[in-house]
Amino acid sequence: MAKPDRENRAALVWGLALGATSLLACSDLNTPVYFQGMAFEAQGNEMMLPTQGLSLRFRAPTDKEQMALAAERDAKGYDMDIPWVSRDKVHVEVSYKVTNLSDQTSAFTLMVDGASQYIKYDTQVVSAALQQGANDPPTFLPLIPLVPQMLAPGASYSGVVREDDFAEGEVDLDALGRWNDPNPASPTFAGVLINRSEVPPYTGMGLVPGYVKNGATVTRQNPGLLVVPALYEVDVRLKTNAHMQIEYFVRVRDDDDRLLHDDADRLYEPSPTLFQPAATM
Amino acid sequence: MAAALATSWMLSGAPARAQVTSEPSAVVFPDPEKFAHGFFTEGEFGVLWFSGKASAEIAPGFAVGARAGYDIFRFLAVQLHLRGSTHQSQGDTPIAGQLLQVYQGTVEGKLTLRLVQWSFFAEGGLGAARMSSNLLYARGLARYRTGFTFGGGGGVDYHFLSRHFSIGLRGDFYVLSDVTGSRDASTTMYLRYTF
Repeated sequence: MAKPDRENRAALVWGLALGATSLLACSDLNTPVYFQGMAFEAQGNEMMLPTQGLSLRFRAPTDKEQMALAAERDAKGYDMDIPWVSRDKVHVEVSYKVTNLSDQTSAFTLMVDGASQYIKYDTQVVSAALQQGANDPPTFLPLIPLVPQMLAPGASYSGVVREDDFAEGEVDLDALGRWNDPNPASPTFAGVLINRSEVPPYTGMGLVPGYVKNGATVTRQNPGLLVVPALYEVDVRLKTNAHMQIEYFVRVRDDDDRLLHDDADRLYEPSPTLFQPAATM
Repeated sequence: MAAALATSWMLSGAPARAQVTSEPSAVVFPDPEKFAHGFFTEGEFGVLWFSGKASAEIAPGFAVGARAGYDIFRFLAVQLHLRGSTHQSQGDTPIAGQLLQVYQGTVEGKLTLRLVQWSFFAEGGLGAARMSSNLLYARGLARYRTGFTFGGGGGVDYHFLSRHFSIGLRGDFYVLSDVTGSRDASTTMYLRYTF
């Protein structure tokens, strides 16, 4: 019995559709890597905020990859080396859960700092620099601030510090690393941290590639030029007014397989400079 | 009179050339012998869920898969099965709500009992399962993303009057050797084309 052409075509289309689905399913579309941070507790109202950090381990670039970075730098006319751990290749997110261990309703604020391969930001160091008198209440300006939350006794709050929160924190850290303006009339680092970097008046972004500073005005002329270093170290700080505990995970999407998986690869060991505001310099 | 004799002569004189020696068999419609057999493909979709320790961490999810195989006999086939499913992590943990995909590939054998358009089958096989991320590792439930898997299941198939197409419903259960104390089970509907 001859097979009708229509059935053959249907079978072919069906087979191709299934094959495409299978290929799509097997193409590792969603391959983040999760790292568990060490849980810690805050007793409440500490001057030195409890903190835990997690350093991501990346492999060092191969000679070929280093040559590619150099070629990219030359092609862009970039003002410094293209970062190996860059925001367009490495995407970081933090998932956390805070539990109120006290018997009273209390507030908590989560703060996220960190370090790129060039510069490290520490809220506590900055707070000490900003403090005018020994008895003044500390001012905390974290790299990535989050909205304070109230927690009932025994209750938990789960949240996510999203990739776009990190993206903004990373460009702020890049700007802070470049910022070297002693003029007291210029925007301070607080302006960099508080304002969105992609929105006028681009406060404090005048020295960042892609932005142009004309007197007191900063304009954004070439958004594609900037290659932002990503955070390779994530520091979580918990400010509370009661006894609380935090558990967290760092999620990394590593587009170009730059995390260290293979012991045969060399570990990338950056040595970032600690950012210090003008008051302590 | 002459006509009657002639008719009698014609009817009685002819030798018997064929005889019905038994009753004809009952008509079977459709005749399963006319259904195609040999190389076949299947596409399936349904739901896949975990049992055991992973069930507290991973919610049931949508599954899609494909099979390609060959009927060695009408009652015995071998088949290659690929399946992907997508899930969300759950529970009172910081990483609840994250997406996880599970890919499974197995080689299976299949036994079929056919009753006209309906057939019932049992199948089993072994292969590998791979997670899209180390989420279960981060929760302390898996050491590697890829592991050995084995198991089986069964189902029911309905053949259309078409020579090539049938549909069916199946359930299966697979042990995930790399996920601590965990299995996965699925229920899927499929469409089959036999060439």
